[in-house]
Formats: sequence, structure tokens, C-alpha cells
Amino acid sequence: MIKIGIPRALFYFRYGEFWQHFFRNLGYEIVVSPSTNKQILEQGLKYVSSEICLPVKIICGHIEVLKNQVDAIFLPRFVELNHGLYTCPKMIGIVDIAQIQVGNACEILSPKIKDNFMLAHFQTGLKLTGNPIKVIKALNRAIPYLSHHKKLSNSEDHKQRILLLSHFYNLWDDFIGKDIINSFQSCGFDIATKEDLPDKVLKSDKGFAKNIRWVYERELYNAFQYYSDKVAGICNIISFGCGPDSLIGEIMSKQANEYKTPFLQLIIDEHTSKTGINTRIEAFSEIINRNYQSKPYLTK
Amino acid sequence: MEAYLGIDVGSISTKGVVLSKDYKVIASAYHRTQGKPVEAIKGLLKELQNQSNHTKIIGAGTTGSARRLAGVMLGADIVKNEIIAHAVASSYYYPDVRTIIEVGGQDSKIIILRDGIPIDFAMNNVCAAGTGSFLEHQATRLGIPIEEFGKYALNAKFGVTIAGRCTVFAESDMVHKAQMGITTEDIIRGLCDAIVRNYLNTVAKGKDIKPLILFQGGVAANIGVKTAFERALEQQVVIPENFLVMGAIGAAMLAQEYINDSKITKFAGFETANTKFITKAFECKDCPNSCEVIETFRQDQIIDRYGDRCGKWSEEVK
Repeated sequence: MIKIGIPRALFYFRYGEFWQHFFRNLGYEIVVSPSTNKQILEQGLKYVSSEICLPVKIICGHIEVLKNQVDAIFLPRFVELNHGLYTCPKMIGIVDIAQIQVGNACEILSPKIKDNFMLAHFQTGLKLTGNPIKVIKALNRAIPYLSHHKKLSNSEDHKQRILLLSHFYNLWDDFIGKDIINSFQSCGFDIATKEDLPDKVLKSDKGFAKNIRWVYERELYNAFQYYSDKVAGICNIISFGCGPDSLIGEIMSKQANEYKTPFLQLIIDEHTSKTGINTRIEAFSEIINRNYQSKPYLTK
Repeated sequence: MEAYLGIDVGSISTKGVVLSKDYKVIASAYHRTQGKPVEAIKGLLKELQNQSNHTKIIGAGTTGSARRLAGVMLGADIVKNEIIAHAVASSYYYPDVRTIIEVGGQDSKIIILRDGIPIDFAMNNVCAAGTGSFLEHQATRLGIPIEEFGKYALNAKFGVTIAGRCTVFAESDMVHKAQMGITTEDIIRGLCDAIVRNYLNTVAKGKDIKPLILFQGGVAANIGVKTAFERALEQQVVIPENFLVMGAIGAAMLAQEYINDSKITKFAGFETANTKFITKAFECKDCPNSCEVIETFRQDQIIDRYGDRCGKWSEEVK
């Protein structure tokens, strides 16, 4: 029986559940790599140029973990998700990096996704099984697991809520997001994320969002607009070297300034120290709390 | 007399003050951290004790990047990040302050205040170009004492352009300009301008810099950088009297706010300077995260442990 590996990185945090169900429904054994840890990251660092963003370095580590224990790694090439909305060059190119990295150790299953998500999955299934009916059934049964909605808190108290704005592959990767989420929670805040919001909001093309052609940047921007007057502050987590984030992050930071919403940008890479992140989060939290109390420090 | 203690342990220097109840600096000290924060803190305590006879410490606060270590050593009542510490001290002495420029040994920050409340801040990310340790390195290379360095800039005839985006490029640019025959004074002024340009473009980018502008931290001792800031901002930049120890003053003030005339301090006393402290680190091998766990011992007894992602080591000590 063929064993299929799925790296617990990048798109896994959006489609992981769906993929596991889909391949299991087809009768394959699935191996998902463990949560990112320092060792996985270090393995990834060997394969990519230092200029590349942290999540890509991380996925290379996961591929390294999987390559000798599976027959094939499932790693679709995400190019265009909705009509006219694209991912970034690194996401598109990751398959080629992986190809070189695994060599002959295993196969890479990488359907190209260009505004044809379901069809591309169908074709992959068909290639594997040769049985269209089986594939359609497997897909249908997996569809309910496509939902990527998560909620960390149900609180509606604006003063107690922070929006953590980041790509799903940063925020939900334990190695990157967990510490940041924990730090804010230990400062007494509830956490809102873009995964709280329905697709209708995230995919909206109203206003400035229609100019944004990066699919996930548009989601971030829409979440920013939706939440800007419903949270006490916004923390934008950016991976160092992320081109799209550097543009949209800048735009959001300027608009947050106009809306008078406190805005903190955290730039992360593999060298990021926990102390540095905590200093920024603590200071940001305290500034927000003091502002709500409108309580200056000691005065003369 | 009753007073408060504030300690600010940074990457390059360790600062401390003893502050009276009405916020007068009774004693202040400045030491090089030299990669040995424990020794630096001890030396600082001795000096502060000598300067402040007959004072009783009724509250202690720590700040700076080694605030946690300093906090457990001293038995600090409050451990607070340096953004808040600087904001508190500055807005007390200068109620009209709206911008604080702080350039230290390895990091630089900007704090924006309105009506005495900090509303926004930024710190340097990824790159430490243009901070104190780089200036010091250049001063040593040119054979000029760091205290004199800024004065050279004032004697410059014109400002030569130095690439300030990266210290490595800045250094090769300086070497090149010197080989072209440009005077040391002009090069130093160029370097000061480059540092300011880099700060404004990377740390302060997009921030609304309004007067009153305070400039503090170790680099504020450099008159060349101060005048470069004034040239670039076209505004007056004020250096507070206690610019070196503003973080420590803030920590002492926060301790006072916390104690609030009612709580009893946990401060272990100036004798801490004679106590044996050891810090150790080990790599936990229990999972692939390989966390570096840091331990602090007082007289061979463990008092603090941190650095583990899962918390199993640190919780043992709590």
C-alpha cells in the first residue's frame, strides 16, 4: 500500500484536515510530520537560501522528516486560488525546491492549482486509483473538512480583544504562533484571528481590497478592516523577507494610525529571540491598558 | 531616608539609581555589562550603596534586556520592559514630551507619547546598524576615545555621505572616503548623519515625530549624533540631565507606583553584592525542540529557571 506524507506546514494549516480525509477515503495510509520543532527548522535551513521566509524554511524541514518514510509527499503547487487571485512566488516555487531536496527518496505529488481546486484534487485521485467513482465519493466525504474556521475566544469585549493578523501558516504553526498567542493571553487579552470570520468577509472585493491580487493578503486586509474598530489593538506578524506582507503590512499600519487603533508589527525569522518578542508584546499590552484607563504615569 | 532602587541591565551597560520619594536622584551609577550581567549588577549595587548612605530601600524595580535576571537577583518588586520605563521617567521630568528617541548599545527605539501616555513605539528589528556598539567600534578603529568622538563631527567642514544601511558597508565606505583624502572630522560627521538617517528610515519610519523631542540612552552622549538629529528633523532635540539612567529612573518610579506606600518590598538588600550567584544553561534533550534552559542559583540554591517552551523546568521552581 502506498504511504502518502503530508508536511505539517504551510497549506496544511488550511487544508490539512481535508487532505487527510480525502486520502484516507481513497484507502491510503497518511503520515503527517510532527509539529514544527527546532530540529525540523534546522534541517530546513540546510536546504534553502537564507533570504527566504521562515515558513518556507520550515516546510523544507518537514519534507526532510518525511522523505525517507513515505512513498510520496503530497505538495500541491498553489498558483491561483480564486479567479485572478494568486499566492506568492515562494509558494509556487516550493515544489521545485522540494523536488531537488528529495531526489530519488520519494515521489512528489504536486497537482497545479489554478482556480481549479476540486478538479486538481480529482485528477490526483484519478491518477492514483484510476477509479473516478471512488475519487468523487472520497472528495464528497472530505468536503466538510475544508472549513478552516477556528475560534480562540468567544468574547465580544472590544477592550479585552487583540486581533492577531498573520498568515495561517505562521499563526497556527506551534513553533511560531503559540508563544505569541500565549504572551497576549497572559497579558489578559482575548485573541481574534482572521480564521474567526466567514469567507464572505475574507473574500470581499469591496473598497481597497479589490486592488489586492494576493489571495491571502486580501484576506488579511479584509480582516483588518472588519476588526479595526472592534478590537483594542492589532498585532501584525510578518515573516522577514515576505514581499506581499511588507506592502500590505505597511498600508494597514498607516490606516490603523488614521483609525487610531494601536498597531504592532512583529517581524519574525529563525533568529528571533523570545525576549525581544515578549518585550514588544508586554509594552504594547501595557500601552493599550493604560490608554483605556486614560491614566498617565506619575505627574509632577 | 527612604528611597527606591531602579536597575536597568542592557546589552552593553548596566545602569542604576537610588531615587528619593520626591524623585530626586540620590545616587546613580553606570557600569559596563561586558557580557557578565551578574558581576555588573553586583558592582553597581556596591557603588550605589557607597553613594547613598543612610537610605533605606523601600521598593526596587528592574528593566532592560536582562531585567528578569536582575529581578530575581535583587528580589525586585516590579520587572518592567524598557519602553514603559523610559516613558514613565521622561514624561515625569518633561510633561510635554511627545517623542522619545532612545539609542542604546545594541538597540534603538522610538516612543510616541500624547498627554503623558505612551501611545506607540517601535524598536529596531533584525539590524543593529547605528547603535552604540558600532559607534564604539569605529571610534576604536580611528583611535579616538568614544567621549571625544562626537566633538570631531562638530569640527567638520562638510558632511560626506556614508552608507548607513549596514555597519559592514558603512565601515568600508569610511575606509574608502579616508583613502580619498577626506578628513576624519568630515567622515565622522558623515557617519553621524548616516546613523540618524538609518534610525529615521527603519526605526522611526511612519511615526509622527512631534516636539518636545528627547534624546536619551548611551549614544545621546555623542554631540555629533544629537546635532545630526537636529539637522534631519529641523527641530531642537533635548537631552535630559540623566539621559544615561532614564530607564533605571523609570524602573524606580514604577517600583514606587507598585509599592504605593502600602506593600512591603521584597528587595534582598545591598548585601546582594556579596552573595554568590551562578547562572547556568543546559539544553533539554527531552524533545526535539532542544530548548536552552537558563538557571540562576543563589548560594547554590536554585531561584529561577526559564527558557523551556513546555514549562516543565520553569514550573518546578515556582
